[in-house]
Amino acid sequence: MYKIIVGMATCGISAGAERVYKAFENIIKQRYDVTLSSTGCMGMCYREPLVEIDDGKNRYLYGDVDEKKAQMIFESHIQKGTPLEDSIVLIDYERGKEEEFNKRQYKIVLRNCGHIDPDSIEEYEKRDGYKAIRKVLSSMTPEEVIDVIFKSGLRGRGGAGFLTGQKWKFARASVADQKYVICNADEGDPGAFMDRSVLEGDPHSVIEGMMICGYAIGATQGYIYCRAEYPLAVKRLKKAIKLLEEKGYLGDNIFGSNFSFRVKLKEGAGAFVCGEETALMQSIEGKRGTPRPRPPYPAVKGLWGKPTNINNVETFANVPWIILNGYEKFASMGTEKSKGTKVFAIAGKAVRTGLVEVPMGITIRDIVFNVCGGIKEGKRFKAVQMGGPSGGCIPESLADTQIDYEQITKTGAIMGSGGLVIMDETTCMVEMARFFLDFTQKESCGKCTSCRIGTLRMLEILERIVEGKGEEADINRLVELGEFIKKTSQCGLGQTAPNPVLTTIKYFRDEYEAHIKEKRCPAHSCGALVKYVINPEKCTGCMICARQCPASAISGEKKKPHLIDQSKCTKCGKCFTVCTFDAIYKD
Amino acid sequence: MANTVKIKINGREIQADPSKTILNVARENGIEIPTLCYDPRLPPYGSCLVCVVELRNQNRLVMSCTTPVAEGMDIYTDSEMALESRQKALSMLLSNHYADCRGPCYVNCPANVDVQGYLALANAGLYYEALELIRETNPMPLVCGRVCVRYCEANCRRKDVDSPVAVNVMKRYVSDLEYDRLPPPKVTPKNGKKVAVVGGGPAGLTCAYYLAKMGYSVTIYDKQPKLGGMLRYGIPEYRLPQAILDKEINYLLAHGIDAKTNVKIGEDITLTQLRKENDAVYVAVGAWTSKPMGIENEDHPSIIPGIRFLEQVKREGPPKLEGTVVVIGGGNTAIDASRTALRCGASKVAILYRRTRNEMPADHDEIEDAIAEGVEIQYLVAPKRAVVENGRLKGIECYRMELGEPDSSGRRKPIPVKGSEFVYECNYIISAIGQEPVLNFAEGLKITKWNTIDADPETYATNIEGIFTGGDVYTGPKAAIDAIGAGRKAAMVIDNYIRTGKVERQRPEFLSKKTLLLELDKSFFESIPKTERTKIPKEDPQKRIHNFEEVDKLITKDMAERETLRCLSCGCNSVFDCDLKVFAGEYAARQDAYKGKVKRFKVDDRHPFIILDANKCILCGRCVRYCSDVIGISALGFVNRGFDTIVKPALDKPLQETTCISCGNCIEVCPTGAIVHKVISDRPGPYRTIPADTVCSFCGVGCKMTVNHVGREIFYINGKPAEKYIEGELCAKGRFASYYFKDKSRLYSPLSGGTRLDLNNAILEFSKGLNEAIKKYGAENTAVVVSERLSLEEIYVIGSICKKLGVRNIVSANELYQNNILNLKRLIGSSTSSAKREDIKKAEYIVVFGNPGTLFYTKVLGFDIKKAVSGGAKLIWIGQPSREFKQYITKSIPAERLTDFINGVSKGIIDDGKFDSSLKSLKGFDELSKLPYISNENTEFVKGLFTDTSKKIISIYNYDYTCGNNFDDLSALINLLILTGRVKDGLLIARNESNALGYDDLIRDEKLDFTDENAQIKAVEMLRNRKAKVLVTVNVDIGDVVDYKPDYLAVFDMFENDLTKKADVLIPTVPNAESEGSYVSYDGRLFKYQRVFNPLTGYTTFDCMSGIFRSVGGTNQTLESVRMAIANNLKGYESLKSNEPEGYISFSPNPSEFIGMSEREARPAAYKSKTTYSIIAEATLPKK
Repeated sequence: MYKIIVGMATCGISAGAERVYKAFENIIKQRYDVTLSSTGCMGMCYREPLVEIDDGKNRYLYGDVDEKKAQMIFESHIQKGTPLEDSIVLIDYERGKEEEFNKRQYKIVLRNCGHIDPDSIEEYEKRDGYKAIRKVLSSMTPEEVIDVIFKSGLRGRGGAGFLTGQKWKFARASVADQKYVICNADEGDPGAFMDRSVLEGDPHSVIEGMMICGYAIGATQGYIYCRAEYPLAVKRLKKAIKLLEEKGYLGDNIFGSNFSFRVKLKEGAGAFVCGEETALMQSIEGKRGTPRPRPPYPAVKGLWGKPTNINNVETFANVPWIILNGYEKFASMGTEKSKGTKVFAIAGKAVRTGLVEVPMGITIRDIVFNVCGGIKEGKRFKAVQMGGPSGGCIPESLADTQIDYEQITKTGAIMGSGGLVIMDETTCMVEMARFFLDFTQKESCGKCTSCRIGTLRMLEILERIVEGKGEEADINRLVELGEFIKKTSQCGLGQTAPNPVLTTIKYFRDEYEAHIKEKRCPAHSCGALVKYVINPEKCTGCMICARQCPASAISGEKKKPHLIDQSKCTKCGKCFTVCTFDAIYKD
Repeated sequence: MANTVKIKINGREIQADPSKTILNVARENGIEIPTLCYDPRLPPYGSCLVCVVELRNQNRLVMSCTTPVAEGMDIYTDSEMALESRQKALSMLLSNHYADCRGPCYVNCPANVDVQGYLALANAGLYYEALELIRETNPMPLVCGRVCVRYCEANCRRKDVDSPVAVNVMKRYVSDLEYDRLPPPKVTPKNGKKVAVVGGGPAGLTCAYYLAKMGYSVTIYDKQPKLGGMLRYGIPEYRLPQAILDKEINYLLAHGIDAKTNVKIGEDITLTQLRKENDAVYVAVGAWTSKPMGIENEDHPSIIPGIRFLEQVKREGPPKLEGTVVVIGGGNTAIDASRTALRCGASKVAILYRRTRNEMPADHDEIEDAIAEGVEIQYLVAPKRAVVENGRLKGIECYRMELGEPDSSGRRKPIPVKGSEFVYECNYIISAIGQEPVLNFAEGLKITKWNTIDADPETYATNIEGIFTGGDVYTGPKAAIDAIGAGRKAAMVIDNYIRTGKVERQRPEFLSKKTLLLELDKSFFESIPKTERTKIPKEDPQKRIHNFEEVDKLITKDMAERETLRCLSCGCNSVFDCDLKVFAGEYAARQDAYKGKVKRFKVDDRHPFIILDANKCILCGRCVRYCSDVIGISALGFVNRGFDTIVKPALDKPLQETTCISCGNCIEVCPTGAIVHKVISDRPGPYRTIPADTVCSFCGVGCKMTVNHVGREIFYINGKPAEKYIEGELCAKGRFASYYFKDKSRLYSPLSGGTRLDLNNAILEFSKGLNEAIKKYGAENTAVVVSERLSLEEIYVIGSICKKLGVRNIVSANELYQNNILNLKRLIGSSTSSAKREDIKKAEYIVVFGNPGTLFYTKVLGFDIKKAVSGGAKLIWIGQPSREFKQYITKSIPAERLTDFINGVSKGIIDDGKFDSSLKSLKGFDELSKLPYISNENTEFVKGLFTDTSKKIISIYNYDYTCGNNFDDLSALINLLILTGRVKDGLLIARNESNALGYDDLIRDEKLDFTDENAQIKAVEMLRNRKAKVLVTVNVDIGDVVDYKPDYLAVFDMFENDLTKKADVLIPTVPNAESEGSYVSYDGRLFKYQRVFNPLTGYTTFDCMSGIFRSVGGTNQTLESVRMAIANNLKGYESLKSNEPEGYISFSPNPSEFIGMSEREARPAAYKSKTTYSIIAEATLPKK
């Protein structure tokens, strides 16, 4: 009996997993000894589409599968019993070409992702699903639950890192006729997809975590605030909630206890700031999604004015595991103050990019060079950007920093929700800062003066710097504006928006200065500042570049080195692309 | 305090309530923290960042408006960190505040004359007020109106449409017209400090004037025989007649300034001596020597320095000049000298100037005048040498010039053309190429390389302590207005110096300027129709060159009106009450500190009263939040996000087509000029207005309001602050009442048989006519209908007149429409509510009885309820609730038949026995206990609520609105309250008319004996059956009831209506803003209102009525005597005797009986009341 499992998370689908799935479907139409199913993200987004062949003895993971390869895998592996060695990336998730990727990982949050059919309660239950809530309801008081979570040292994975047990304790202490549990699934950082992967791959673990929280704090109603741009996650959550209600896992007197709990799904309308807890609650209430002053904190006066506990997806996904495996096991991982694991969405210039879950305390260097296999094309590792647009960059010189809330904060970056962009020497740090600020500036809700106007003014300065129109005083202006915005904004968006700019100025001030004073982009990335030059020693005088130049800026005789007239050059980069002798370089 | 925390604010220890914010605790302790977005009536918002304070022990900033105090906080409200942050926040707000505080006329005037303001006043015909406004910062309008160089006009934006507004012509117009009406000069009591002013020119005079007004003993020293400096000796008579100058100088001197003329500094007295004898010295001696031309033979006696020439003409009379006079130079002195030379008999006068007309510094109009008089001007000519033959001047040898590169002045430098020399034959040469000061007296004063006194540009302080300077001696030759501006600024610095010993820069006024952010939108100028600038009439050039008479003539009133209309009103309507402007000045914010993208919007002026200018909006959201949270309307909302956020009416509709109720509170909460009143004026100012407190007369709530006016021009009306930081609300009726005052149908003069009369004749006519009519038709066939908006005093006099004439059939229009006379006093012992407005705030439950209109007329009562609900009270609405209240209602009970519902509840309570059994003995109890009771969820709920004695309940009912059934409803309600013991303190009866209560008490008072219920019912019947033969109406538009012509009809009204048209005698009345009187509000508050401005008719309604009383044989009645009479007769009105009668008339409900069902009689259907404020109602209704 063979099982074919296709990775069908958004990452897989965008790489072509649907076509692969269809191909398998067509092939196995007549066969009853083969089952075909889908699963969530397996983390190795860089090898998508991924297909697992489970022959009952071993599990073979094939990478970069397309329709043709699907046919080959089927013919060789299933029909002939000969695994297609070349295409196998992992065997039993331990051995194989990509074993380095998994070696340092430890999966708590992602324990089921890629292993179960997310639409199936049974598959979830087969892997200890809903055991934790049963245990809680049958044998633990709410205080005991909070105690376990508290002792585990679990901290909010949404980014701020507040002790989850403490938060629950506050919500429990508030007396009210109604309390709420909210799961913040409004993951909005560009390049971050941790929560989406969990929601798509293992929605039940999140709901179970919410139920446990509801029991612990005394809430009977949960909300999942999920961004509408995650249609698959929304679909899976809706299905999960429906199935649970039908099964009686959500509703009154769950598992025969006195505990009643329901979950509603609320789709966000696309405002980044609605990931901020007070704005999120405003949005659920149907109001304009803008932050409101704290205090009062949600634990005292939250949704509809009632005590409310908000955690994010990853935090909730940790909860059932901690209940089942004990706080000691969780707390044994990580550093003194940061326990357990952390999921990162790795993007950028690394060899291996995708979703990883690593124990706290691992160094950035370890992630970059061991988990992710170093930098592509042998280029130099320059920095990582952590925490998305709210975060900051950590330069190579600080790569030995451990993954730990406090240590990361010390660098000027933040742990954030888990976005990690790896950058090499070709990344312009000014442009990178501009990119992230452009995002936050557009996502400002417009309430606080400093964020509404200040971020735009910073962006305007950055725009002129990358265009080569920067002024000497601009760096100081950016620092001054950035500090002011951080100090005075009411919510996390404004308080962190200047981080990418401030940390790049801190670690890469020379790059800013080069843009401003020398009108030069050291990474040769900023279009307006790049100068294309022909190396006469390498130029063979083939004339291809001259012929292709749309501005007729290149001149030279046949078989003699050519020359680019900088006054005519429009910096389109055509010559650079067409030169087959590497004779044209960016200066 | 039970639960407090210990904090420190600015080092001071304070015990504070931890539920309060830092801002509120600071305010309670007298510490000011600025804020733009916080409003005490709204939950904290925290957006503007202006209120930040430093928590020193935590080394961070917090928003004081959102942060509650906590134990151990060490708060600094004015630390450097906080100040810097505020400055940044303000600068950021200003970087996207596309707005002009002031027009360029004001900005560019050295004396900061409020040009836009005085043009607006002049346009309204308030010439005197315009003159006063000019004189606030420029004490020499007679002079400036003639000789000013007019930086205002040079910068006037009208020039981009056609040509600048003729500002100076208007200045001269209002000054000439009104100067003699200026009050006699008042000498300020002397403060014992002395200042010497050296130089009696415009700078010295101005400085002396302002210092004298501040109480300084000022002495002016001048070398000339008369004061005025260059104004007198440098400007020819035909431009500035001596008599005018004397008038202005004498007026200034009369403010207690000493002048010592013919005293030369450095010769007759030394600077050191002056400094020693005075607390400060102001040196403004001007620039009196002509610069030498530096040519050969310059010292020839026929070569005269220009300024000396002009001075000699003034001092010694015009010399006789014969032949040709050549004037060298291109400034005003050159022009003056040339025109004067003509008047001295020269046969030819030529000006030689080395550049072209474009570079000529002289005033354009002056050049034109000179040319018109025959002066020849040669351009691009420069002198080389005076040609002298045999000791006689033969002419001047000149170069032709050409223009080269621009020089340091920005003008192109003239260069001699080689070999172009030529000789211009002439008999005299006047050199007028510039002047400089004579500084031989300087004694240690530091001198600049331009031979002027060196001083600090901000403080005018010289290097010698206590000596200040200004005018031409400091700046070099400039205009009179520059000197005047400098003189006033120096006066302020000197005053500060003498008081504090410190030489300090006076903080400049912050002015937001559009041009700092963006270029002006050219399309705006294109949209304005072109008009012609007023040309000042001038004496014929051929005539005028023979004398020194003034050339410019006065313009006409028509011309003045046209010219003032040309002003584009560039400045902001909120310039005097903009918090953003104040804070920007206070924290030295810079509008160009964070330059970048700026949002520009079209101004939304579609609403009849409210202008929305999103360009100025700082997104504090007060309007949006106030509109939704307090008013419950949400007519305004945020649209878009981030930098693109804008406050707009829903769906971009005109505001009046949204749910807007036009209450205009958004205007009042806006901290800047983004929402402003639409001022009904052809030119809306702004100008600084005078606030006058009065009371709104449009409904029974009695809101205090402030009418901001100048003369009879109302600029806007706002709510009067009830307490510091809290503004009172107004609704559309009061706030936009200026439309009412200015309505075109307003009546101004008495009429009899179509003939206009003066008041005295009208009174006689009326008294005679009425007397005869009563004799003819009988007092019993006479009816008098009055408004319940009349003051107590007016009602009293009208009652007295009726009494004198034996007329008892007096009713109010309201009673006429009700078809019923409600004598609450007889029924329950008092006509007033037993609760007060403040009690709404304290109530746990507010129960409104009635249909949707119940609170329509008394909107502000509605706001009170909404605020109470936001503060935790529960609103129960029995009847059909108004949509406006839906979101506030805890429980809505749709009772179709309100009387039956309430009676049912009472019966239920009786059945349950849950009442004080002693009430059983009251009359009417049996009747009540026989009513049917239907138990359902709603009756049970109300029953339970009213019988729960622990609940504090306020019951609200609007008596005046619900015509027809009201009596039954109200009596049922009162019975319920008697039964549940709540009648003593839980009833609020809303009234539509501003003095309905006062009227009720006064008209049926037994002692005063004006009328009684029977007579009143008779009056109603008579009028309904068209039987009243003689009818007198006062301020009531009842043409729909009185649709016939009584045999004798006398009408008193403010506006034209059906009745006024058929009246035998018509006498106009006035609104309460034009008179004084007393009202009683719906909750029994007795108060006086003061007149805001004099009645436009020339008399008040009270004066008119008391005149009539006299002419029918009554005694002389004054406001005081009437008040005394009311106070002595009416119980509860005693405080009317005092000057401050603010207080409640006492209510002693005396439930000796339940209101019997027998009071219910079949009555014909009542009329639907007509609103008398239809102008407002119409304007606020959606226009389809």
